[in-house]
Amino acid sequence: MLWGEKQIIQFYALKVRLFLLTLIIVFFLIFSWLYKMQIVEGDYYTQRAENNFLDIVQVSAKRGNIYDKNGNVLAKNIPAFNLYIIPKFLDSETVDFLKNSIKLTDEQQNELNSSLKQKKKDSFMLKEHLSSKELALIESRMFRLNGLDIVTESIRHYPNSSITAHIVGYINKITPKEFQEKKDLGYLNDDYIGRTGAEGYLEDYLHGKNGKKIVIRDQSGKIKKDGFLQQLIDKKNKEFSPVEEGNDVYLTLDLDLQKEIDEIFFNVRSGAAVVMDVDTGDILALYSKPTFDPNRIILKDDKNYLKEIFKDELQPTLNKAFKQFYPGSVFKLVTALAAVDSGNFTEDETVDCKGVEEYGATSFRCWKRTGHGSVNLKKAIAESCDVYFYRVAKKIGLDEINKYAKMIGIGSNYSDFITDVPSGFVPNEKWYRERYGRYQKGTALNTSIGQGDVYLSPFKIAEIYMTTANLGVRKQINLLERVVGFDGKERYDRKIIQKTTEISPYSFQKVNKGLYSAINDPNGTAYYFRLNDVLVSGKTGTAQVASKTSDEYDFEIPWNLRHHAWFTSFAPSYKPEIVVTVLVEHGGSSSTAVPLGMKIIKAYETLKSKRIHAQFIKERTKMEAKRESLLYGDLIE
Amino acid sequence: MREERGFFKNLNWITIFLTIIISILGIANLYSLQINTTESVWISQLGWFILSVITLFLVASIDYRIFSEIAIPLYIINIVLLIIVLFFGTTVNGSTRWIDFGIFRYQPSESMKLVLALVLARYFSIFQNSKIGFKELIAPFLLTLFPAFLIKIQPDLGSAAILFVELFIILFMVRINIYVWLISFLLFIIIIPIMWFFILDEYHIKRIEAFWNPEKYAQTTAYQTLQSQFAIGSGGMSGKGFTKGPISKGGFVPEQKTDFAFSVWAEEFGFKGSITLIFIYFIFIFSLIHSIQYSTDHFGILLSLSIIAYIVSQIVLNLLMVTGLFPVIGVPLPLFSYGGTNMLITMTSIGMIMSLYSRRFFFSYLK
Repeated sequence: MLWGEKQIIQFYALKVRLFLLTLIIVFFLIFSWLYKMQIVEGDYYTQRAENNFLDIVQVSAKRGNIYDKNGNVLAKNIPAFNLYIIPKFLDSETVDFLKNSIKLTDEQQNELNSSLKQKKKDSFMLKEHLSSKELALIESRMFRLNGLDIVTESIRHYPNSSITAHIVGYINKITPKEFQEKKDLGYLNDDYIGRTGAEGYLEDYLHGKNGKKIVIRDQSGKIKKDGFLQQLIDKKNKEFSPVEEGNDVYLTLDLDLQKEIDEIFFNVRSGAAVVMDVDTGDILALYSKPTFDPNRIILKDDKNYLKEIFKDELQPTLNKAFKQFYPGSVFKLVTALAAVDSGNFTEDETVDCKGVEEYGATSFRCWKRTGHGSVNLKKAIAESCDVYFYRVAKKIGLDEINKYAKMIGIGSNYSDFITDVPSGFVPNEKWYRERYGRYQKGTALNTSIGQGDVYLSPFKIAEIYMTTANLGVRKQINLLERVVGFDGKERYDRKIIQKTTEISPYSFQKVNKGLYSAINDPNGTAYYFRLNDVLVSGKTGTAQVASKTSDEYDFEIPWNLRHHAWFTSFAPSYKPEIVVTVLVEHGGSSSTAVPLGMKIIKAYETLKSKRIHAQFIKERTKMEAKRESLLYGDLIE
Repeated sequence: MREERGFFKNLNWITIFLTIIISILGIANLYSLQINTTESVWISQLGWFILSVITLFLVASIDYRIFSEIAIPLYIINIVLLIIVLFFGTTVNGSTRWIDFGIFRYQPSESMKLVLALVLARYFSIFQNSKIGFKELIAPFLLTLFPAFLIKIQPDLGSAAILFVELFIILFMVRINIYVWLISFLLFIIIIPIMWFFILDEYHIKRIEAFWNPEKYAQTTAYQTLQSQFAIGSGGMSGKGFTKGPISKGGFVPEQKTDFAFSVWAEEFGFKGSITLIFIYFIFIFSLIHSIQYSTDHFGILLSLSIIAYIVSQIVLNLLMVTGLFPVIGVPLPLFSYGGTNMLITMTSIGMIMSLYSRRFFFSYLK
């Protein structure tokens, strides 16, 4: 049959209708599918879409800086690059790359492997403080890597490293237990927490509050900065509590003095120095030797270093200024106070020193075998006559010494933030009875010269001598001077707090005469080291560690059996400004400690006059400028 | 009974109006996507649009029977262009599809769709009075296979597939013996596994796997289609508003300017907007098909059918792909997606149908 145009049209009309029918079905399918997606499951898709590109990350608050009283930096933050893993985006290629190019511990490798399997895990920090080499390697390959994030955070840095290591302290990773306790205070599970020194005491001021924020991630898990979406998530971010940066703190320390002390202690193997302001109770310097580098503890780049400093028998990480030692002769101050204040001894009452004092069957020796002859209170302190104090102890008994020790502040702490310092120990009769079952009266004699069971830290001795310099006014010891919030507001109201001891100021005056003579009287124990331009009052001390015969020289016996050398002083004598306490552990005799103390006083005076001079120059320049503008101001205009 | 009317009065204005509407919506969509960014492809799309509309009217004014004469030269030229692309083409995202002419880039695979329609229409118009057997099918099959192969190795599986869909629809339309159909169907079933191993690349197979199990490949192969679905789904009833779609503006849907342009639209205008657009497309297709009944000769019918075949198949495949109902193959949404050549060729095709429509009164066999 031959088809005409009409048949052709009819033939095609049928096919076209079939085609049209198919089309209608397909369009209806698309229509209903769109209805399902947009109307029925619209919220689900919105949620899925947001989950897919929005991610909640933690924002760590910046830790506050630590400054000294003059604004010198003691601790600050420097930028560090941390590697984060977002398991949702991680692929095996990236994992292989990381394993090959970055130093990872076994633990980190396991973490990496497990996050490849568990895609739903939250993002976490894999490695902290990437080296610049590692950073460059990752950045150069970043466009091919998925599920990685390099976050610029900060690392703690101590510019003066070992010089201020003990008093500024260091920070460390929070332990899981601590984290459970402090979770609500805005800590993160891999957060840092102040461990020792000011970092520890002032943790609440320094540590800010961490927060959370929403970020946008692209297909490979990298954080995307997009102006349009930013507005959207900014709204959502308002629901989170904001990040609170840590506050900056200003310590009472004087960094320049601390540095001087570090140099003065150049030859000392082990020891400590404490300098306090007599008027305010501020700690001006606190130094302990041997010391360590806190930056290396934080970096953890060298495991041997950590082992080294924690295994060292000299205990570099231990703050020797807070460690208790036998005080030796520096304790005689307390015995002397007990003697005059209780009324048992008058200032001028003399004791005949023959170099030895018999008590029962035991003979107690004076350090000077030939004896001091006739000794009154002033001479006893100046020449550190043991026999005088034996007599005192005999007469007033152990409990009286203990009582006065308590009155002057031993056994109690009086400080703004320093809590971990031992408060010192002086025994009484009851303590001996409880401990040994009986009390031997001879122990009072040992106690009177700071031996036996008396334990005091350099910090405590400085405190006692500060109270003496203030004639019985006990000042609260301060470490914190100012707290400046991240918004520039002052957060701390500093006060000078003091209380008066029950000991009469006259008794202190009497004792102070002895302390003055110890340095300025030709027979005084520290006369040889006196300073030309500053009058210093003080007391030397040589504390026995193990009994030795007097014939032996220091270099003949092992280091750790040698005596501790003490020197504590305040200066200037007539209007005390600072108290300086120096301990040289196993220094042999006090003559190793005294020159150090004197140098510290000298350094303080030099610094003071330098600052006054600088201030003077500044004022003068200002005045000259003013004068010039008054004279020639019109001409210049 | 000739009814002479002016050229403009003879045009199907509904079709032209819908064509322009869709194109303008597409440009607005691009504008929304790129507001506040440094990119501004919507301007270049606007340029292509003006050029395309002019071309549409020019082509409509030409007697369509000329296209039958020049079909074979055009086919040869296009094959040459496809070969030139393989050697001198511009590569974007790993595909070499464009010839760079300095101020614009031309995509021969797009024009191949139209040229194939011309060639097939011319070929099948011979068989007005006889049924088509196997022997007669060899030529059109080879005519499709050769350019499809050239396009496939660019690689551009989407355009290659469109050529075959075009052939398939034409074969469905023309008079073919029923046994030919049955055997072809059997052959097709045999061909599928061969296709699987030889024609499809590894990433195509991955895409098909990802199509069946999108969650497993959520961050890799299925990322694009999932993001597109998120964008469309999160549009809800009324959408996020013009220029306010977070997923689109965030650039999370790859190829959202071109193949996935619909997802941008659906996110910003929601169900109402997407249904409106689809409805406009449907009316557009219907008006094109409506024009066929005014065709006055066999070539005219076949030409409009094959043109409609490739335009409609692109629309349908794109919508299915974007909504996640079909594996991802690169097929643009005609007139709406960004792509100058595609718009030019689509409008040229519409112009041919208009040429045919406007001459309905010259040779009226029906009335």
